[in-house]
Amino acid sequence: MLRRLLAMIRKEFLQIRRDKQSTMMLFVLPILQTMILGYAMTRDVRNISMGILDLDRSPASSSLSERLIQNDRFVNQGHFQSMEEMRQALLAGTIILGVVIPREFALQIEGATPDAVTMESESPANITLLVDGQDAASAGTAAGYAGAIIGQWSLETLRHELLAQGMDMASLSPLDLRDRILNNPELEYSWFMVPGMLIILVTMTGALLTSFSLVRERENGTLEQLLVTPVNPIQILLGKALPYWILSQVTFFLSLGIVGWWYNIPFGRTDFLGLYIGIAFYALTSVSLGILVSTIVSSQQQALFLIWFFLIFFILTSGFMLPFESMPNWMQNLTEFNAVRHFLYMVRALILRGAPPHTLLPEYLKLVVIALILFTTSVIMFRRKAS
Amino acid sequence: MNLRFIIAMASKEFRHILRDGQTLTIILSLPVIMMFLFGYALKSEIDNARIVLIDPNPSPASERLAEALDASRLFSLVGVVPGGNPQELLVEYRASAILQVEPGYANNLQDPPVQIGAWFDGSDPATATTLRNSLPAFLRKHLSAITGNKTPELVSVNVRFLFNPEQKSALFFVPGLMASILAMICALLTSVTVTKEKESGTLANLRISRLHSKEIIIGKLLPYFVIGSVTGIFILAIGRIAFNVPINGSVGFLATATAIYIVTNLAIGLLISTVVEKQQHAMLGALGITMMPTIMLSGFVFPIASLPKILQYLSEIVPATWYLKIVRGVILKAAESSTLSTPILVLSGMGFVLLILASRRFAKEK
Repeated sequence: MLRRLLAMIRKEFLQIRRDKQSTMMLFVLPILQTMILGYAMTRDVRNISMGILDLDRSPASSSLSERLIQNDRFVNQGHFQSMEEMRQALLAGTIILGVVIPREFALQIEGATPDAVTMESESPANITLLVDGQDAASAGTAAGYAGAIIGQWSLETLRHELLAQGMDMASLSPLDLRDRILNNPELEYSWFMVPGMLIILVTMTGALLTSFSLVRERENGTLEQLLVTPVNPIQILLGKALPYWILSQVTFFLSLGIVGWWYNIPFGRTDFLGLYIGIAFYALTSVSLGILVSTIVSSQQQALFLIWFFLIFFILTSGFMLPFESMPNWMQNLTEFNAVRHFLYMVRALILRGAPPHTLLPEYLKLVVIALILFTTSVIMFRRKAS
Repeated sequence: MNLRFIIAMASKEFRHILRDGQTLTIILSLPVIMMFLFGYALKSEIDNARIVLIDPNPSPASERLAEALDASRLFSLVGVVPGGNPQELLVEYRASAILQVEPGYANNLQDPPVQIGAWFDGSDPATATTLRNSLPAFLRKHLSAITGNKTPELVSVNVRFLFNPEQKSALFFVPGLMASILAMICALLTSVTVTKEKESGTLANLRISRLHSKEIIIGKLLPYFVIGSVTGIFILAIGRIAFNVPINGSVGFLATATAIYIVTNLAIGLLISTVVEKQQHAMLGALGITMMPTIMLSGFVFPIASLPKILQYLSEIVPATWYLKIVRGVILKAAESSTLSTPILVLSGMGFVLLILASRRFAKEK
């Protein structure tokens, strides 16, 4: 019994080893891509092309423009002479942010400064930011940065003016906020994105290779040959599933090591046993998906399309690139069945937050349940197909 | 070139496609599902970030702060605790931020400034950045409303979003999905057609037939060109009907650009299929070359200007980058064809070079 199973496993490993091109496509290419594209994965907005329309041309307005130009988030594309000129630049895409400083800006600033005795002031000067809103999220971020710099400038000018009147600024500010960033103080986006990339890689290995290898045997007619040998269907199934199950786990840890080293991801607080249990069940899920798909398709092309289809859906709703909490409740509930979501949360928590595994008990339980259900279903489907 | 041969080749290929109903269903349902996901379930803005309040000495004033936090769109209060280690609280409550008020918060309100501590979970940098940027303004507003003590403002900032004044996300994802779905489907499908013939040995039959390699290529690409066009029209139609995305600019220009883009990706698929021997490798290669770059480097998800310099150069050789400029320009800005002449020229150049390369290699193979 065991000897036949081992023979099946050996045969499968031999086939994997012989197929050099697949190894290239499935390991080397994705790992290289992760090493390069990890740098691309930032929602932070930098190098914002900016133009300024200064209608006031006063010392105050040029001090404010100077402050914006000097900030290294912005790339100044020059001073504009008219509103029309600025609109043209926005339309052509040479700038994505236009700052309009109104006429009489200096006068309004003066009026808005509170009087030292009565504390009364006029309404503030109004600056308009014209933002290219094609990409809503980065437009908002760009406007936020500009707003923050203008606010900072306004606060400093106010302090300066008040000091001239002999007043202390502190008495006017109601808030003293002290903030810190934990877990990833430099806010490296790659640390956040890499676990998701690796999960895609593991799913590809587990699900795609398993289903390819089963469908190929069916296409070549060798599956029938196997079925008439003394090896029973369960042994064939395990002989197919085990090699890819092991391969997925090796791939995960190997690529985690390489990519983690490349991006300097800290593993100091990571509980590796917890991580191992997670990947063992996740790999079982993806291998089972591969078996299941192989029982309902008739060609390798169909297998790829079907798995790719599932994967895109699972990845998009897992919180990989887009925030999970922003999804509506019905969608969040639906993703309880999404193994990628649970495993991704687990990996990020274990590696980046140094969470102890017992705090992730709900994720482990859900993952185990999903894995066992999928595996059982795939065994039943395979046996039905085989007989 | 003989038109009859081309038509014969194309109709044979069409029959192959139609016979495989499963693949066709997936190809046509993928854009629909993606659009509804992006339209109704996915957002790139951050909402309802989980936050915990450390309040050592609960008072009506601090409860009002808790209520205000929970009521805001940005936060969702998941716990109020008397004390604890912020790092452990982040893990325990699965929170994105921890806020701490002083024991004497209620009294300090009478005698500002009020000290508040905040810890953000940097393991999710996008959420941490957003929360860190918005929290000061939120707290200042709340405190001013309660104490009536206001910092005088010298400047108020008024933001106007052009081209998408209502900040509709559909205007952002429809062009992006056009670029990425078309690239994936077109490259994937063509990469398989030639390798499949190689695997089953029928390429040898074609080799000894009277068909010229150009006729084979055109005949093979034609059906996939049709599928690509149908998918494109599908996406724009759903965008128009379900999400109210108008085409402000010239439809003819958009159609031309889309046709060129489809041909470019068909050529990529064809090129891959001439290099590799097996279907499996062709599919993986096509996915690897199109999926990640069109999503990550084209400016769809991550703004190009923010990329490191080297990746910015790399993004310029991705066809989707140029196509996305055209689609966004036409749909959102109603840009005139003249301002989009560079993107369309570059895209045409790419398509032309790739098509020549692919057919050269194919002819050699034949």
